[in-house]
Amino acid sequence: MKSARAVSSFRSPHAVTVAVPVEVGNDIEKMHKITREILGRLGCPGCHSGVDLRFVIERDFRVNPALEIEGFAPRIGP
Amino acid sequence: MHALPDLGVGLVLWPELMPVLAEDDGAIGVVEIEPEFFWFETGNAQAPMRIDTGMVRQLAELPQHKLVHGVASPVGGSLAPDPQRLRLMRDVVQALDAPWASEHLSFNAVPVAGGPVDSGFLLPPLQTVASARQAAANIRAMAQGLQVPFAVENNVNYLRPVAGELSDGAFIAEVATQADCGILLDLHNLWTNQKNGRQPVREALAALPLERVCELHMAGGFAHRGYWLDAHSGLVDEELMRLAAEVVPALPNLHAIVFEMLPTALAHVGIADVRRQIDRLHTLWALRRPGARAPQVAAGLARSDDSAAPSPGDWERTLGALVRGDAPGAHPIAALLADPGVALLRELASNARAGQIASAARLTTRMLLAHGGEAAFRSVFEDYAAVQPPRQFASSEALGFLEHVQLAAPAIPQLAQVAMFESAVIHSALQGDARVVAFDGDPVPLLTALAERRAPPAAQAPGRFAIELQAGAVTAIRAG
Repeated sequence: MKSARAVSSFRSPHAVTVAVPVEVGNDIEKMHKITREILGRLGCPGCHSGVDLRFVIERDFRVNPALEIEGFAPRIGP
Repeated sequence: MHALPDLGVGLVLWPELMPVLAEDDGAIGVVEIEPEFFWFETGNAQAPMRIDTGMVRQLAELPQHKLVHGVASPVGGSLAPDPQRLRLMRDVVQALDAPWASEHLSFNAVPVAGGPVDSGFLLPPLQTVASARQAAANIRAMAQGLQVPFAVENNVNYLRPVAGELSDGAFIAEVATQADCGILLDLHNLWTNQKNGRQPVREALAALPLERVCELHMAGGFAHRGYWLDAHSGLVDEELMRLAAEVVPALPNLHAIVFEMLPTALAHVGIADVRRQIDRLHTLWALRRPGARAPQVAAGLARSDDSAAPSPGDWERTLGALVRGDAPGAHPIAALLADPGVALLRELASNARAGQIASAARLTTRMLLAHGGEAAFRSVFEDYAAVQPPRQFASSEALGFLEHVQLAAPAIPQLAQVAMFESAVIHSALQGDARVVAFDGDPVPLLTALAERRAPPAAQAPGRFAIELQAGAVTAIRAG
């Protein structure tokens, strides 16, 4: 039951194709990536009755300017 | 529920868990979809909800069987299923060819004058015969609307039992029997209730019509403030695995075993661990005894004394208000006012709102964290939460928060523009229209840094810039 083709990722249906000058193409692509991330999280959160970790991850997850993860140790509670 | 197909072992599917499927050699027979993750509130009164049909099409292409498990239309409250949501859920059920669908025996909104108010969290219903009757009516309406068999999931409950209530097992049995529906047995929920001082699991199971159990949920949790939480935060505890090995042979119509884990758990649980968990659930699947006679429910079950219990309406209004942090209303229930579980629910609900915002208004959240840490975020968030009720859908919660940020205007450079940008992206996607967002400096380094979790640049290249959007996508970046 291999399904590599279908499971590479979910794709946003909001993506549109645009023609842009080469010099700004990289910036547009960066922005596309950013907007895709925003649009991928607009529905309901998952089913559970526990501590939602999404804010904790944002608070505690850090990378340095070289994009290296500096460490992640989520603290739950006070 | 007897004619349902055997689907095997699987998991609740999230985009982050797709790698588990990529190398699957047939161990995963079913993926369970929580459809509201792919729904959006549009803000358009004519069509208030929209489904992301592109996502659904991709899911439909997966070779595994699919199940649909609702999270935003629980059946345990006094509000009947919303027809619009029911239609969307039916569309997903049909698109994925799901042989059955399920929802929770909880409530998430309270009927008050002026319309329902979201509670911000799945809350436990009052466990009386009257509540069971209402839940059964909701379930029948859902099953009729969805046009597939329906299974109700037993709920987790952090509160103390109240005088006059049915036991946990008797309440589920009453609901399922009155509704003539299947049961999605969430063993972790029952175990959580036991660990928090409610009915022991085996006692609850003895009260259940086990022949109605068509699906088993297994999950992990953790301890927090003296409570065990149904957090879906990791692998299944060994004690729960042993308990499941006792239970599975007594479920003659079990057709699926599903592992529930939120993608946030991938911070400490690897994809390989998930695969091993699936393999271990196959050892449970092998213990099934299809067609065997289910143990008979013990005679003489305790009945509720509804006259000794509060009314379901007062229960929902009081609990909903307390969890939102509001005054408990005209008919407060003393047992709830004294229950420490209410404070836990309030904390979890507030935490869930912050999670919604951190997820859907991520760049603005990171701007606040980068300029003052958690205190800066909390300051804005608590002001917002004090004046705005919770919203079930991240799109609406994010838009409300982003509007608040722009109005509150904390003294953080570029914050309002980042909030405006995120808000415009969401609005543009939901409305399918064109938007332009103006920036006082080059927005690309700033937005890119935030997206990559780096600290925003201390200074921006000066100048006037504009980002143009169409249907949620950037179509141009203009300078000057």
